[in-house]
Amino acid sequence: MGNNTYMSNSQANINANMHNECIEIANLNFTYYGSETPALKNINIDIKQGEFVVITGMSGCGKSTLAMAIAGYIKDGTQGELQGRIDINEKNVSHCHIEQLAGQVGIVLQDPEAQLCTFSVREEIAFGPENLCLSEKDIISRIDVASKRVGIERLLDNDINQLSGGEKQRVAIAAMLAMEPTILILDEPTANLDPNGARDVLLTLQKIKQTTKHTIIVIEHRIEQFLSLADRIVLMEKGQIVYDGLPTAGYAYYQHLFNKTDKKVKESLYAHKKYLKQKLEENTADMLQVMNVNIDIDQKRILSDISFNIKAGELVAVMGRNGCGKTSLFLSLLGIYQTRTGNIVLDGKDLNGIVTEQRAKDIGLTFQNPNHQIFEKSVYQEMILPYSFLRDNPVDDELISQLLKELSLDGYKDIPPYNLSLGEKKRLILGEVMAYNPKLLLLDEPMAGQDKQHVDFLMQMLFKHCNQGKVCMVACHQPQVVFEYFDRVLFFDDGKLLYDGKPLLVFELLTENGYSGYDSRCGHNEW
Amino acid sequence: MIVGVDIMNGKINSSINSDISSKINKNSRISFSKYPILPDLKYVAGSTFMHHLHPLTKLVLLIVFSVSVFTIEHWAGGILLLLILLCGYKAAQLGLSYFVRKLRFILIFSALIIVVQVIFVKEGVLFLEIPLPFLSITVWSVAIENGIRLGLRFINIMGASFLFVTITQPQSLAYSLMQIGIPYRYGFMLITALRFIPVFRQEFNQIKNAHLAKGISFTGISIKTVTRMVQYVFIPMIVSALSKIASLAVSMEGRAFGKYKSRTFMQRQVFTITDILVIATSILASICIWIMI
Repeated sequence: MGNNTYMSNSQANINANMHNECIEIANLNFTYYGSETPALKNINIDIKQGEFVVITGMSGCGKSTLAMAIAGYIKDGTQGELQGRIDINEKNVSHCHIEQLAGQVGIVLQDPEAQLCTFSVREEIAFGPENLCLSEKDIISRIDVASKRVGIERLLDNDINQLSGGEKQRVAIAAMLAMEPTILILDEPTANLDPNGARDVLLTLQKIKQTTKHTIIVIEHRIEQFLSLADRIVLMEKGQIVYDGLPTAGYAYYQHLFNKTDKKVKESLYAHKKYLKQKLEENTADMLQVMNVNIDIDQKRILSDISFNIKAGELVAVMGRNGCGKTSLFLSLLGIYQTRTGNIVLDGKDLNGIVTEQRAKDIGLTFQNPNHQIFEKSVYQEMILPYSFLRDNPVDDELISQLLKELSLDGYKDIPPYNLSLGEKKRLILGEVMAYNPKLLLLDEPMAGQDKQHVDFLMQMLFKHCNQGKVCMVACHQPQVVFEYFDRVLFFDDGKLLYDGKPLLVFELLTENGYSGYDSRCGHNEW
Repeated sequence: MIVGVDIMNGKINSSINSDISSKINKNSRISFSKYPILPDLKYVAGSTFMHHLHPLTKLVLLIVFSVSVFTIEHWAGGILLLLILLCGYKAAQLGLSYFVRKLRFILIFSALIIVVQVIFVKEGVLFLEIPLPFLSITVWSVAIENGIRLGLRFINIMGASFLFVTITQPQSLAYSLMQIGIPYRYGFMLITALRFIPVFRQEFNQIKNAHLAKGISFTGISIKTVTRMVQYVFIPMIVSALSKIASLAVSMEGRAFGKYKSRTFMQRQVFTITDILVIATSILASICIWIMI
């Protein structure tokens, strides 16, 4: 079936284009149907073979759209209107079928779970080459090469369902590499991963860059970790390219454009620190006491002998690799998981024997994916949904409209929440909990894949909540954010509470003990 | 005939006994809730002769068995087929208790078929008469015969299908179907569906947890609560399923899925001489039984 021809073609492409442009985009404009503002405006960019390019910008700036356009998923007349020209290896691809592009451009997306379609790692890597009708011998050698490049040789016979998020993402990368694409695009490859997983993916990319001639394009919100790898940075704003050049200058411009810390956050951080200091001097009783708690799920011990106390007003980060029991801890505080032994005391009230329905009145919990938590037909109805179940007194409309205004959702009161953007949905979920204002607020990874603006906004809301003498616990994967804003870190590993203390202290201990990715200066030491 | 009924009653009793014993024995990992009245269809890993057969051989066996169930009219044939089926379970190291536990619903339903036949069919020889003050119960031979025949047929078909599902890994069945010419687009429909079952189960749990966290509870059954339940459970499920599908489509198309009409399969299931012998024997056996009975 022309297997060998295919292989030599791809090899020839790589060799012939060594110093040529492998992507040439000229005057590209794209507008989604139903939208008035163009998603991409007059994009001109040339990318050379072997270059490592990082494209960044705020949510909704069009960077993902650009990636999808390069990969051939966006065409004129399918989802919107496209003008201009995209050439890949000197061939106009804007009218090519996606299958024709397969083997030239490979794209790896954010959600590692949704990109794997078979049951074992070996099958998954073989999937692409099998579709190319290669011979078994060729496929075996491709599996071998791809798995070595990504460093997952030892996982080859594992079941996909047993892998961690980071491993799944590396399998997704290996599966794309097995296609031997000239261009590899990664759309927020680390957004859903914990620092360890993110680190592994990063090292993998570094290895691919050093050992192969693939052109790599990474789309990211937080570019610090990619600075040492990037040959070039592209900044986008409102569908346009505002900077395209060297990473050093690019990073400074990036800081200036997107990473400006909102003055308001600094102010509320200061107010919070002041409040907390005063509160600690008063030496009030603990708001939340967790004593010797064990959590078993399906006869397996998830958390053992967990004890900690949290004072009113404290903002606490809960950290640890994925699957270390952060979510289980939150679910058992709310009573969704039963605790076998130990006590949980909230504001002087022992929660033993109290059902979830009652606990939910004092404990608010939100999860990472807003799509699992939106149920109503309009933003307003969604806002008052938990309130109507958890509080007896009627809804205070004034409070709700004020909250919507704070969340900048006041214009969307009557539209269905599913039509909001991801960031807006996240704000809505947060607003819902704020509306009934529980004593203990538990947020499960609210910052994953969010830009600086959202994080700043979230922090302001959290400070405000804490300053009412309430408690927030946030599961979080971003050491920088924790370092900057949080009062305390609980670090879990292996089902145990490993460290409990101020962020600086905990991070130092972690770095000393060989946990990578927790350097408090991370991002700045990379270059 | 009565023996047949007794066997079934015995089975029902033993199933109840085993449930009670498992309830009492708290240390055993099998708990009552794990065996709901409706059986859960699931592949059970094993390394028996039956597990090692080619998936298509198992499919052929299932077809031959089902055809026999319908062509053999006599109840004795039904009992013979049931014995063969039980041997199949034994060969797969699943045993009688597994059969009874998993097929409890089917067994009860078969017993009901017999009861219905006894009540409504009054033909043949009067077999038994229990005089009661208002309504005397009469049991006629044709009723018993029909009841056992239909009941056994039901048990045999369901039991065989259940055994097939229990010992055949669904993805290897899909791969082997694709290798004999089923277009791979359809085969992969099955494979991706199977791949995403645990993912969707997880999503469902997350939605359920979000309900609990928001204090959403459904009390009473009315049209209003049912529509609300649909709105609160299925809409988020569909929304998240669609986003997963979008990513999956990008990932599969990006790896040349559908580029050519055929594709290579690394997961080659080898058809051995054993498979051919097993198929031949099964066909011969079914013909023999058909001629004999």
